[in-house]
Amino acid sequence: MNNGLAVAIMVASLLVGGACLAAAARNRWLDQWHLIALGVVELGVLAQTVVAVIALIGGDRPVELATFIGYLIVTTLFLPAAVGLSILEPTRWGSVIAGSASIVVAILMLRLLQTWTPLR
Amino acid sequence: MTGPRAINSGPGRVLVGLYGLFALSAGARAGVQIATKFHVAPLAYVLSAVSAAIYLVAMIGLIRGGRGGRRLAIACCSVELIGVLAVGTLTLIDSSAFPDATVWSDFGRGYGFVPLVLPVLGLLWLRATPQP
Repeated sequence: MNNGLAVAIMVASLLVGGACLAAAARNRWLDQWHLIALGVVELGVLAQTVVAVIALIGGDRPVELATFIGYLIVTTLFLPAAVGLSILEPTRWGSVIAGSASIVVAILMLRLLQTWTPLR
Repeated sequence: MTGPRAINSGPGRVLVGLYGLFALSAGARAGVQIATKFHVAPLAYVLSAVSAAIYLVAMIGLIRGGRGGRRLAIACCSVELIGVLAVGTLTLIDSSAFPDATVWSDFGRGYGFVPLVLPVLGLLWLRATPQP
């Protein structure tokens, strides 16, 4: 786990989540730039996943291995699933879904950091 | 499609997402706990699994909509509300009954009290939408 990257993802996902909720407040679905921004957050998440998997293969062991792997899988798949649901609902409520999901990504990233702490 | 105010559209879709998230997190939590340390707190872990199943069924009810889906969702939201209130109260009165946390412990405090709010939102939404 890369701490700097994790913090960057958390800040970005909170900002993008706020922007999506702002669209919901204006009774609108997401604009294209929201979707691009969500994609950028997901790219960060994927990069973090790669870093974590390489560390796991390299022999690092988080304190709570099973929990960590569970969070890792959920975190990686979470935003695409939420954006998919948002696309099914192209109204303000779709913006609520994408915005809340982006904020949840920050929480998931925090939990990943907490369950990591390699023992090696 | 059954119109804009069907239970599986608009705010209903947000609820579907929330229920999916909680089915997943309660289920993953239960899975890890049951697989790695079931003997520590069997009651708490089985309860986590049960709550995950209820979230999942509620989500299915909300997605399906119609008379059956609505009835299913109402039943699940009611059980959830009773569950979170009962377990929340129990964990406050006698914390030894649940030596390890569940999604419903302390009224869902570990999950930002969303487990307490979610069934209320669900029931309000089901009330606000027209009966089929």
